[in-house]
Amino acid sequence: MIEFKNVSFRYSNEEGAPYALADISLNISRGELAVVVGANGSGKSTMARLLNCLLVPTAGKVFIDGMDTSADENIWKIRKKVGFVFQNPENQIVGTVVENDVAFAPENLGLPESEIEERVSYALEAVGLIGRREFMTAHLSGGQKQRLAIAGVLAMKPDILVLDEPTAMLDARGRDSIIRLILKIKNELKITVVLITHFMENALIGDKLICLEDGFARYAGAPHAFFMKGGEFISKFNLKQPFAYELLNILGERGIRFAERDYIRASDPAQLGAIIMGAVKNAR
Amino acid sequence: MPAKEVLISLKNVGFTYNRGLPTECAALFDISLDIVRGEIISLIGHTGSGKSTLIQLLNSQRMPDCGEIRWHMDGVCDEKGLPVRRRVCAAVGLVFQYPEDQVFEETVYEDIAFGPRQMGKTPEETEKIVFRTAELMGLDKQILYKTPFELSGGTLRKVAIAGVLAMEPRVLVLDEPMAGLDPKSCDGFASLLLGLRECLGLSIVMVSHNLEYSAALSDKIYCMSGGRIVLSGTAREVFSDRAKLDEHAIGVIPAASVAAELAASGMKIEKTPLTAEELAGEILNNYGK
Repeated sequence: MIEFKNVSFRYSNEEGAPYALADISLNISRGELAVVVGANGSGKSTMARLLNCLLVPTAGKVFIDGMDTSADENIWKIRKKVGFVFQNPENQIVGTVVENDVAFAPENLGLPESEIEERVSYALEAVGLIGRREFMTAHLSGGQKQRLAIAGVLAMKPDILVLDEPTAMLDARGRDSIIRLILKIKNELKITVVLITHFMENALIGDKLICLEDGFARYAGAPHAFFMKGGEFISKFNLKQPFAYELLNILGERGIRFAERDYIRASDPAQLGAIIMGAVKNAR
Repeated sequence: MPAKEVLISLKNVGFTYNRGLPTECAALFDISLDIVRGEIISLIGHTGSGKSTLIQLLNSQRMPDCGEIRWHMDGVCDEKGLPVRRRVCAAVGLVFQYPEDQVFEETVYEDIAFGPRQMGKTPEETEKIVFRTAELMGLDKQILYKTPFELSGGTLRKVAIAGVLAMEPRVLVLDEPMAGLDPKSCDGFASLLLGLRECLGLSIVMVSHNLEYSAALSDKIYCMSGGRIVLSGTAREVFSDRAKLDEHAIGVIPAASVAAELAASGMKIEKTPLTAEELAGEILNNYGK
């Protein structure tokens, strides 16, 4: 669905200007949830902007569903396919009433009224705001505003949803609601999702984890295998281990060993207690 | 130990938005707390619990409509003992969640110099303050002559804080200081806050959704819900009270919640752990090692 072929990008063409992305090659398959992590300034947002032709590669190619993003005739087809949600929902909400805000994009696509109505209901249903369709957008909580911003994008019926730190501004409750929604979008709406995040706990929900450092892709693969490499490896990228992995790794160093399947199970924080009770029983 | 020096005290403070209008909305009820010199306190609680309203009261942007707030810092009140807003604002520095919201000058130097100039400092004094503050914040001298808008988010946040510190406040109030920073920058920022407290004897009030940092840094945590303080104490006291945290949807920290689960399955937990390290210690105690 998404293919990066030897992609490099820099913001300035002056000689000696630094590369924001350097020789990145990777694939994200249809229906996959890919999580992108890395330090501030490692190239995550640049990578996201290459997905919908806001930027085109300085060298190499990006293909969306087989279409080259650097070809002018593909720009609008690609932008219809790839929906974007940013950190601050306030910047993305245009309407004063919830349903009008969601209707904004379909109206601008020139769709018939019945189709617009159908899409607004579909999107609000998906994000769980259908009961608040007549609310003022200003009266929503932070988490609800972010869900509304996502609904505005879902109403465009994208094939790919890109979320750039969608939970950075939210409290724990808002964050959980967005993560549950992202999983639902992937599982039920079958949309390919690219999630950029600094929350390592959330990085574990991905089918694939991509770690960037200074513009290079240092890892692309299963999230649990990345975090199993231990704290020292992870901190090289200015990242931290998710809590469960930190705990299992500390216990491992002190003699209570865990198998790979324990680490995979630990991706779900609700399982952690049971995993530890099991290990302690076996050790006795 | 020297007696606690209280800088700001709130007694039974209440606040209502748009009082007397149809849109009247009560935001704070019966808030009592002391801001003590050199202490770091955190306000936690879900969106809409009153945290932001409370920090606006601390630097007199809003005045309570019942109860009493007193500033005990030198030179903040006039001869009648009433707070002078301009002086309170300088003594209680506020850093917003989005540093770009409060950085506005053409160069970093000018931005940091703005506050001291407004306070009537001479150019020489101002220059001294700018250099000292920049050094304190770990900002390179070269950065001082750059435009703030080409800096990364983390550096911009340091510039915003430097601009506030240049007013030489006694209390620093930070709204979501860690939002948007990568995990290692968060750690760096946490040590920076501890350093500021150490060097300047600052009191720090932090509003944060990042409960693990609140637990690691704070001398005292106040949990807010529906405009009231519903739970307060040291991090260990607060995060041990699972029932109250759940009741007010305040959230839990993973070490404490896993420990509670293990305790329910029969493991012995001596004291509520706040970190993975502490939790591992508790588990290993049971394991007989």
